[in-house]
Amino acid sequence: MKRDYFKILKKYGYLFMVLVFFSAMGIGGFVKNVMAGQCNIAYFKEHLLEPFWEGMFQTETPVVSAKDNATSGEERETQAEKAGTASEKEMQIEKAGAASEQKVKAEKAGVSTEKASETKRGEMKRGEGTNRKTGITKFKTYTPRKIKSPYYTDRGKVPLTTEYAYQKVSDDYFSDAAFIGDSRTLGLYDYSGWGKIADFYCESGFSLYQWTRGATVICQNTGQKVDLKKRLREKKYGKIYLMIGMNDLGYGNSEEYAEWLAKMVHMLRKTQPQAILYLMGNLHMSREKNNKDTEFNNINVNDKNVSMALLADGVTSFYLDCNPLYTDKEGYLKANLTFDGCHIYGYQYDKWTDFIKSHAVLPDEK
Amino acid sequence: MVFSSNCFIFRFLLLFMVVYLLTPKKYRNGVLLLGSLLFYGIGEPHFIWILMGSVAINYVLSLRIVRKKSRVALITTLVFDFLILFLFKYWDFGAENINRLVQQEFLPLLHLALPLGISFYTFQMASFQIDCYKGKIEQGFSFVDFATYICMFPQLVAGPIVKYQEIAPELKNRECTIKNVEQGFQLFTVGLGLKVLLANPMGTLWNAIQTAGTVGLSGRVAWLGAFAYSFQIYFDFWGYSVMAAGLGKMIGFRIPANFQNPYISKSMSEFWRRWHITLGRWFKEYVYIPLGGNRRGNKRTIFNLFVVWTLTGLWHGASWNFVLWGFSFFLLLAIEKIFLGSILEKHSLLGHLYVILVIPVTWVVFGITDFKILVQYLSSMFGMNGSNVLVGQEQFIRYLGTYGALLGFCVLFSTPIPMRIYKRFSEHFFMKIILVVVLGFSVYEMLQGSNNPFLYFRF
Repeated sequence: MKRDYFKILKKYGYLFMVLVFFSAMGIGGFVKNVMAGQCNIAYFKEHLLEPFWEGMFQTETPVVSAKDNATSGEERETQAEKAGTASEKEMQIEKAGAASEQKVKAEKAGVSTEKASETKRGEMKRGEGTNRKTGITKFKTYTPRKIKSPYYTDRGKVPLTTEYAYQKVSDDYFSDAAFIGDSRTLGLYDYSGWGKIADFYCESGFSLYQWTRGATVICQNTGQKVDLKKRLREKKYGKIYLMIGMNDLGYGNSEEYAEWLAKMVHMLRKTQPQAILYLMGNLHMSREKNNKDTEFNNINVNDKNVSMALLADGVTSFYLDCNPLYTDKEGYLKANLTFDGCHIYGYQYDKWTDFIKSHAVLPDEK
Repeated sequence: MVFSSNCFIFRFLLLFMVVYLLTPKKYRNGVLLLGSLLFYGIGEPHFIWILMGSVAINYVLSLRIVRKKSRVALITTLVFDFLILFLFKYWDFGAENINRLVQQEFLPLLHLALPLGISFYTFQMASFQIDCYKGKIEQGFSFVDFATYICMFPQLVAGPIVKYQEIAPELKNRECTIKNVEQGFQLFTVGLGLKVLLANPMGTLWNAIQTAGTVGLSGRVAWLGAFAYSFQIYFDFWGYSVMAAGLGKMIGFRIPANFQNPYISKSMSEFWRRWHITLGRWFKEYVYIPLGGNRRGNKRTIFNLFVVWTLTGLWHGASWNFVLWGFSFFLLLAIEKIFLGSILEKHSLLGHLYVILVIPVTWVVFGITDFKILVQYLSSMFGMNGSNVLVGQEQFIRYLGTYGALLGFCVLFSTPIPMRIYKRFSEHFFMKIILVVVLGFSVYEMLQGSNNPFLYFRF
């Protein structure tokens, strides 16, 4: 009898093993979703075309998967809108020459963030404990559209580089700098020439979604993976450049992204209270790459950038936007500057490094 | 729908196989046809009508061809088929070039999307009609037979270009056993592994190098990119063809092989007997030989080669770089026919080196559509790029560090060794366990979203 079973297994063993393995995964995924309370009709409708165990590769916090339909998308959009309007104030850019009045308030997400700074009409206010003037982060507004995606909302405004009396510096400025980010920052490492001077914590695909779940990041200077928080507790920097979000386009939603970003910035502030924080806006995509039917489009990128810019207090953190260097009038990355529509060619980085060098904040003279 | 997707494997294929195996024998072709149309329709809801319309019109005309040997019907159907192909694939290319020639907007650009698989099924239908006319296919095929032959999902969207005679007996009567399903799915897994675990990462490396740009590109990184692309395109297409063969086996058909270790060739002539075998066979049988082949003197042979290779280049894409690519092979093959071939035959090491070094260069011509960038890239490969090196030793070491092991596997899988081992031990239990691991890793990679679509999908 045993011999027969073995013969059968040998004959049909592959199909048998595949069925057992993936059924086990399927059951496991199904059970996991039941425990997470996600087994309702809407969930099944959404995941009709996916195997049940696809959820096995996602983490504990229920994150919206790639195939959400419009109804859940609209629900999330209203939530994000509510969160957005509750924590933001209206920003307007007035006609040239007129002074602007605004309020900047950091996103609250259960994490304590930096204090709000206010400016009076036409006046620059001095920050506490420094003799630096306060920078102002302005936004260009437009009429937002209703977005049927669970991943992002149309914020109705585009952030601009924080207005401030920046200085122009040489490469020496970056000797105590840290750069944190994804493949675009990796490009900076490769092409800026600062790879030998500054520390680069970046890799292709790095996202806030991963980082908030404990992912390490490669220190390109050494090739080693590091725990960013631990490293920043050990080593002090004079300035930190952060550019992140392009790999978060398909994770979470506006609200969640803002929370994750606030977490990262809070961590940077806590571990590096002495450092100037440069929050760099993500690069827009080209017209060809931009797809308004998916989450890969500039409205989503801008959503991330707005969250980034809202965290710039103009005293210790500044928003820098390199998009005007590379985009056309409608904000699309120019096609001749890119191969894949979301990275610039290596030889184009010099425009960006010049921009960074001419937007430096020098420490106080005590 | 793409073969290398979880949706295809764990939804469509699973459901289809259950229904197919439960269906009584005489309705199986119908079920296969409907399943294939569903498979195509899910991905291409608009173009399914063009496919069905073409199939219907071709069938009606084929009856006339096979019964009356009507030349008019043959010409009508060929004109109809190739006109549709021309319209969708080549109109804009032709219009752009004519407009450029006459310096005005003489012809409008239509910007039509390409129906999936049109280059493959058009060639299949053409081969069917021509073989009917020549008497190689006899009467007695039903509409379902013909439609199933053209539309069956294993080979509908990216080949191999199957001849009707190859599967005609199986259309009438085939074996559908669990053993076939087992062996077929094993083979499918092999193809899936080649595509997802070898081709996709190589594609990522090639993309990374192209993203860096051609200004300041060092020779070593340029060559690394050329090899990466050579491996990507090979494992992508070969992997797909193996998946097609595996799926064919699952449903009871023997789909012909499309690749036979082309990178171990010792000459370009041998390369093209091992690469995309069914396409080479189509051009030989329906273009080269009717033009006279090599039986009408040297000058005519050279001319025939020129026609075949220009058309082969154009078949791959409506862009001048593809024409240049085809033309390069015309030159290489003509040179081999004239004198180089005999030299390479006598010195096999020279032959291997020749193929290993020249083929990546031809793939770069194939892979880069923008002429300016292509010239810059080739200049970098041959040490003539002039500008300061931006993408140099440091990036080269980093790429080797990340992709070195994979490159080693690619070299190994370019030899006949792995497939020989597989064929020898495919029934053994340990091989099945290896395949479960391969399937598991492939599924995991597909879940991570590392899914470059088949390169040959834009055909």
